[in-house]
This record gives sequence, structure tokens and C-alpha cells, in this order.
Amino acid sequence: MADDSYLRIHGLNKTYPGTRKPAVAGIDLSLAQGELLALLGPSGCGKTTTLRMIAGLVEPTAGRIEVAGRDVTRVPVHKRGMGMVFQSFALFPHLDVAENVAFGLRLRRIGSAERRRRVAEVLERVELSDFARRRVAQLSGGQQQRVALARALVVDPTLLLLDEPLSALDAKLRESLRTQIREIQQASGTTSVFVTHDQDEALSMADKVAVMHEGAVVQFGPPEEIYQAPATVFAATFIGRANLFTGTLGQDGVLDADGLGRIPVAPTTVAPGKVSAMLRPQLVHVREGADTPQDGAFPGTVVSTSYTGDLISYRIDVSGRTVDAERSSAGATILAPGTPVEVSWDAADVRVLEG
Amino acid sequence: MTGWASRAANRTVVGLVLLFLWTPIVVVFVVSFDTSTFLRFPPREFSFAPYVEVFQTAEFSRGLWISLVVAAGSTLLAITVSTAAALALHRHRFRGSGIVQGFFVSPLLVPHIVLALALLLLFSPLGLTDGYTGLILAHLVLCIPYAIRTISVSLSTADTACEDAARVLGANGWATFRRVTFPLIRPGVVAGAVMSFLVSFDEAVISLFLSGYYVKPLPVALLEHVETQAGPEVAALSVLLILFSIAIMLLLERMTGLRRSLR
Amino acid sequence: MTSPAGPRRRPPAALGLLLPGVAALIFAYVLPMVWVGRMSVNRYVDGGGIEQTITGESFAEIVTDPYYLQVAGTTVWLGVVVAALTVLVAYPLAMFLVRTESRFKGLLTMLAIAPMLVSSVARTYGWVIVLGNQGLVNSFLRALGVSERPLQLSNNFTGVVIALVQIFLPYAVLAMTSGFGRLDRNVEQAAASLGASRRQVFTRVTLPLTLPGVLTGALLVFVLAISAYVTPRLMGGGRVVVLATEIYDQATNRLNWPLAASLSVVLIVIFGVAMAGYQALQRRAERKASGQ
Repeated sequence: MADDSYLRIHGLNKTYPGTRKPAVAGIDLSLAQGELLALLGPSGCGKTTTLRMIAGLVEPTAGRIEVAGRDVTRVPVHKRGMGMVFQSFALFPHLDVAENVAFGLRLRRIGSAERRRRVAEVLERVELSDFARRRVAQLSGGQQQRVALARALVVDPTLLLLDEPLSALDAKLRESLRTQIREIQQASGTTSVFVTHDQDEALSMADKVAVMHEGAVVQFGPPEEIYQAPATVFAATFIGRANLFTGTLGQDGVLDADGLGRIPVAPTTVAPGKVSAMLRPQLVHVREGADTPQDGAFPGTVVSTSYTGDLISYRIDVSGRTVDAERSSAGATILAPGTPVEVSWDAADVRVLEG
Repeated sequence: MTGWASRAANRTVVGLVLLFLWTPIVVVFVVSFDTSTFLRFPPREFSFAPYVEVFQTAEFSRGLWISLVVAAGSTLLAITVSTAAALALHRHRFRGSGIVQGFFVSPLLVPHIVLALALLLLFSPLGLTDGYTGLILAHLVLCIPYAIRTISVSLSTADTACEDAARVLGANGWATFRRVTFPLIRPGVVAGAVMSFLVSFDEAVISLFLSGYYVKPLPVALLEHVETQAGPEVAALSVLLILFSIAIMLLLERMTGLRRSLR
Repeated sequence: MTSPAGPRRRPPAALGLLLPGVAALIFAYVLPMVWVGRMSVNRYVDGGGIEQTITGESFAEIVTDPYYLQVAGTTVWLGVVVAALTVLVAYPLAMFLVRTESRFKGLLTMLAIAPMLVSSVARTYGWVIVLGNQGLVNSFLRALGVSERPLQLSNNFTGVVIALVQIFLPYAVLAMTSGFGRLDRNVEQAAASLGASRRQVFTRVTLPLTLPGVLTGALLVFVLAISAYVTPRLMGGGRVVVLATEIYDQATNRLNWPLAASLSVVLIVIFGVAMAGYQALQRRAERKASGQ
């Protein structure tokens, strides 16, 4: 695959001296040029450490990092030609906006006329052209983040790295900046890696997502794959909501689920034995209970209902087990708690997980 | 005693204490304008003659020059050495950094008289007495604790993400320091420099032990003068020293807030 | 906000940065101090020579000669008296500064602390004028017709004490205001509401709670007082001999370096004993203050 070769990470490991468990335990990733990779996971999973190793701010204990075919693992930070955006923005408080943006250009000894041109051009891209002379302290959070982005982009970086760039901003701002960053990144065609613990961000912005847990990549692939076909229990529960069925998978490919009895599941390569399987709440069908239960449906009672404008979520008790169901509110009547119901789903939507 | 009375009594006591604190300074100020050749209080005349006398006395003008040179030298060395050390302590993790920091601050605990003798004993056979080098080195030891404290505070509160950003943008170690770190810690460096300068300029005991015929800083010249020919010009010089210290102190107060820098 | 932890550079760079400072401190601080120890066991040869050897002669001399014992005694006594008086005088001032809500608080604090930055020579000289026979106090008393003979406040122990108290007052105030942080107004009011008189509130509540700060101030002043040189020399008029002045005399005039070094060691020992005593007392005071 000649395409997947712009960023290559082999066996990247970071073990801090004096600790036994590695912070990053042997990661393999690859990214094509122009793509945006999201490192997604809870705090402490090693995603930021990985990003900082790519940048060169942290020295790996083992492994290799290649950018555009060049091995940069031992190259010092300031010679890697990358761009980085930090969670705290890290703008230089003693310089104004234009000087902040021009910082990298100055270091590359770019002439002042050329500098001014490039700074003006990038400030326009982030829609901050009028702010060139402002002091950093006078900017709002969203503006500061855009300046940080401009500063990183203006040097034509080999890689754009973003460390939880939106965490320090409030929810509304986060959403609008999310789209803006993605658009700018795509327009400039800069290969990017960004770190986040917010799954909505990862799924909506990235071309590829690497779900990380306790130092390892648990699953790697495009967002749809991660969401629809999570490989492990962790991936399934960290991203989106999921119903988890535990039980024994028989040789015949049918899961004997605890409490629910035999459920057919989607074909899987996981070996028979004790497994978990997941089912997304949106794929659970709920009907008011009829006297004659349908084939393959499970009778249950609504325990609680939650209405959030777009969606109706039900918590249903089925033979002592809880099943979550979700459906759009369009054209639906809300079932009250206590209503007897029937839940059913397609066997193909029940996916067996490893781990 | 009623609440009012006891509050008044309290205020009076505080006032008296402050008066006690400032009396000698005020007295010196007043006496400096008298012209008699021996001390007397209250003074009989008012004149600037003693001040003129100060500037005309060779010992004093030479002493002032020496004090300024030594203070400037120790201060520059102190902030350079302390900045480097603070960088090592706060930007590079290593075991025992607490002990090293304690070591750098420890000269504060040693009585000046002991340090003075110690320096005399070592510097004398090495030919470092009665010279600028020895004096600057000695004062350097006194200044380092003050400089490293203020610089360390600045350094540990500065956002290291800025330094990371600079390095990713292409700045090597020195460029990062020059363009980002130093501007961020400048308040701490300046505060340290001002305190070092004051400490060195006012230092009397160690300077006394180490000075000789050629190099005699101002406090030493003043000390000798007070014993032999105490007159208003001595008071005038004292006033000038006091005003100088107060000016530096006001400068410091303006820049950083006095309480924080003395902590 | 700071970046995540992690050693970024190899130790050699850190060592390089530390080297100048460490080298300077070793050369002009550690080495000389060690040298004092070494010199204190050398032998002094009459006429100004020094014989390199190991002998306890200088120490023996100090311990057996009543003159030096008196010098040491005067030094310790001076330290104790000055520390006690300074702390006594500083207490109301420190208390006031910690509690007051006046808008002049900052200014008053500065007034209390500022004299610290003024040269000790200049300040001592001021006292020479104030306390001398022709000085402020005596002229004042003469004008009032109170006494014909001048009050001997200068060139003696008393004068030195008064001057040192004034010189060290800011240090004590500073130490005590930091140490008084523990004092909560409400505790005193609670005691008063329970029926304690003003005096009782003070002795049973305020005093124990402020004791740690007082001890710190006292130690600080004691240590400063026993090492004082300029003031005992100027205010003592040659009649007040303390370790510091004796050290200078022996080192510069008699060139008896071993003896001067030994006297310094004695000073350091007194210092050490004071520190040890302070730690012990402080532990007890802290326990009382936190109610054990």
C-alpha cells in the first residue's frame, strides 16, 4: 500500500524510569498524506505521550517514527519542521499576534517582506486579519486557539499536531471551531494528528481514529468502522452507548446470553467460549406489548424514559436484565414507564467482541 | 479598659515602636545639614556644605566607585549563575535537586563574621585580598541566594508549554531561552538583580576583612571615618546611602511588590 | 498550566548549567569554611607565624582563659537580651500589622520593614548621634532640666542593646507576621464569649497560638545578634567585646589566625545549640498551638 506511507509509527514504546508499566506500550500506526488522525481515549491512556513523542518533546524508549520516508526518531525537536497546537494555547505573552505567528518564520530567517505576506495570508485563513497587532491577553479563548493554529500552519509543517486543542473552550465554541479546524486542515492538505478524549470530536473530524487504552491501540480505522464494529468491550463502551451481553458462544455461532437465553449473533471470527457482545441502542426496536409475542422478540417493561428533543431513550427491563433502546422522536409516541413492551433486533447487529 | 481606650493605647504603642524604628535615620538626616566639626544635637546651622564635602573627600568618592563596580560585578555574575542553576533545577529533572537548591540558598544561614574570617584565611595566601576579584567573588556568594530565589519562582510559574511551542517551531536551546524563557522570567531576574545590588552595596563586615589599601568599598570607608573623625560629612554620606537604598527599594516595590520579593 | 512531566534532556546539560554556581560556591564558601576548621587546629607562633599542625591549643586557651569565657558570655547574654527585647517590642507591631484593616496597611508594613534595606553602618551611626553624650536623648533631658549629668547610653552595653534592637526589629516583625498566620480572630471572640477576660484571652488563646511565630523571630534575632560586628564596635566604644569584635581583632591586629578561627567555631557551636533549642521549643509550641 504505497499510499499509507506519509506517517509511519512502528513499535513506539515509552516506559518512564522507575515504573514497570509502560505509558505507551508498542504502538503501530500509519497515515496517508493529507489525512487527519485522532488519538482517542480516556486520560492516562498514553495518547498525549504518543503525540509528544511524534513531536520530539519526549524521547521514546523503543520504536521508530517515519515522516515522508525519513526516520525522525532521533532527530531533535527543533529540526523536525512540525507544527503543534497546545491545549493551553501556549501563545507567547510578550509578543503580539503577528509576532507570535511570525515566530517560526523568523527562526527560519525568512525575510521581513515575505514574513509579512505569509502572516497576513494565514491570519486571513483563520479569520483574524484585524487582530494582527493585538496583545495575546486581549484575545478570547477561541481567538487564541486560532492564533495558535495560524502559528503552527504558517511554517508549512510536515505534520500538524494538536494536543486536545478544544478542551479549554466551552461547548458551543468547541463545535464551531471543530468544523473550522477541519476545513482549514483539509484546505491546506496538511497531514495531522490530534489528541482528544471527546469521541464526538474524534468521530466527526478524523479520517482515521486510533482508540487507545492503557498505552495500547485497541482499535484503528475510519470512524464508521470504530463506531459500528468496535473490536473490544472498551472500544464499544467508550464510544457511543452500547448494550453489553455476556455469555457463552456456542460452536453453532449462537450466544447463550446470561438472563436472555439463546440469541443469534452476527458471524464472527471470535472463538467459542465466554464472550461479550454488543448491540447499539439505536438498533433495538421497541413495540407496545401485544398478546401474541412476535417471533424472536423479548417481552419486557419500560423502567424509565428520557426525552431529549431529537431522541427518546428507553431503559427496559427484560427478564431481569436492562436493555437500552433509542429512537428518533419523529412520529413516535412516548411510552410511559411501566408499559409492557416487546424488544427485538436483527441478529446481524449483535457483534461479538474480543477482550 | 474599654474597647476604645485599649484600641487607642494599642495604636500609641505601635506609633512609638515605629518612631523608635525611624529615629536614628531621621536624626542622621537632620544632622547632615549642620556644619560643626563635631557632633551636636540639635544642630545649629543649616547648609549643604557637608554634602559637598562628601563628594570632595577622595576616600568617599573612591569608595563609592569601588562599591558600585563590585556591586555591579557581583550582581551580573549572580544573576547569570543563578539563572543557569535555576534552569538546571526547574527544567531538568534529577534526583537531589532539592538538596542542590538548599545548597545554593544556604549562605544566608552563615553569620557574616564567620564568612568574613573564612574568606580572609583562604584569600590572603592566594593574594585575593585588597582586590576587586576577591571582593566580587565574596559578594557573589552573598547575592546568589537572593537571586536564585526570585528567579526560581519566576521559572517555576512560567508556562513550559510556551517553551515547547518554541522548540517545535524550530528554536534550539539557546534560541528558546533568549526569545521565550528569558522574557517570561524577566521580572524574577530583575528583582533578583536589585536585591543582589543592594546586598553587595551595603555589605560592611566581609568587605572590611577583605579590603586593604587599594580597594576599600564605601561602607568600610564610612566605618573607619565614623570612628576617627565623626562629623556632619559622615552624616551626609549616611543619608546618601540611606536615600540610595530607599530609591532602590521603591524601584523594587514598583516592579514586583515588596512583600513578595522579601519572602 | 505546565506540560506533562518527563525528563527532556540528558543530565550532562543540567550539570553544565549548575557548574559555574557550584564552582563559585565551593571556592568562595565551602572551601573557606572548611579552612576555618582547619585553621582552628593550627598553632600560633608568637610574632605572627602559623604552624601547620593539629593541636587543640587555641580551643584550650578559649576554655581556660577567663577573658575569652567572658567574651563568649557577653556575646550570648547580648543575644538573649536583644532577642527578648526585640521580640517584646515587635510583638504589638506585628500583631497590629496582621490584624489591621486600615487602608494604610501596606504603607505601614513597608515602614516597618524598609529599614532592613538600609546599611547597618548608616543606622548604627544614627544611634551614635542619638545616644551619645551630646546626642539627642541627653540634649532633650538637659533641656527639660531633668538631669545635669549625661545618661551613659553610649559606649557601653546598653547602647549596643538599644541599637541592635532597632536594627533587628524589622527582621523580627517580618518573621512574626508570617508566623502569625495561624491566628484566627474568631477563636479569640469565641473565648471572650465563653467568659474569658481580656487578659485571659491573651494568655490562654492569643499567646499560645502566636508562640511559634514569636520563637522564630526570637531565634532569628538571637543569631543575628551574636554575630553582630559593626554595632558592637561603633556603639561599644571599645568597651563591649563580643566574639565578632574579638575575631576581628585577633585576625587583623594580632594575626593570631588559629585563635580567630577557634573563636569562629565557638560562635558556630553557639549557633548550633540555639538552633537545636529552637527546634525543641518549636515542636512543643506547635503541639500546644494545634491543641495536643
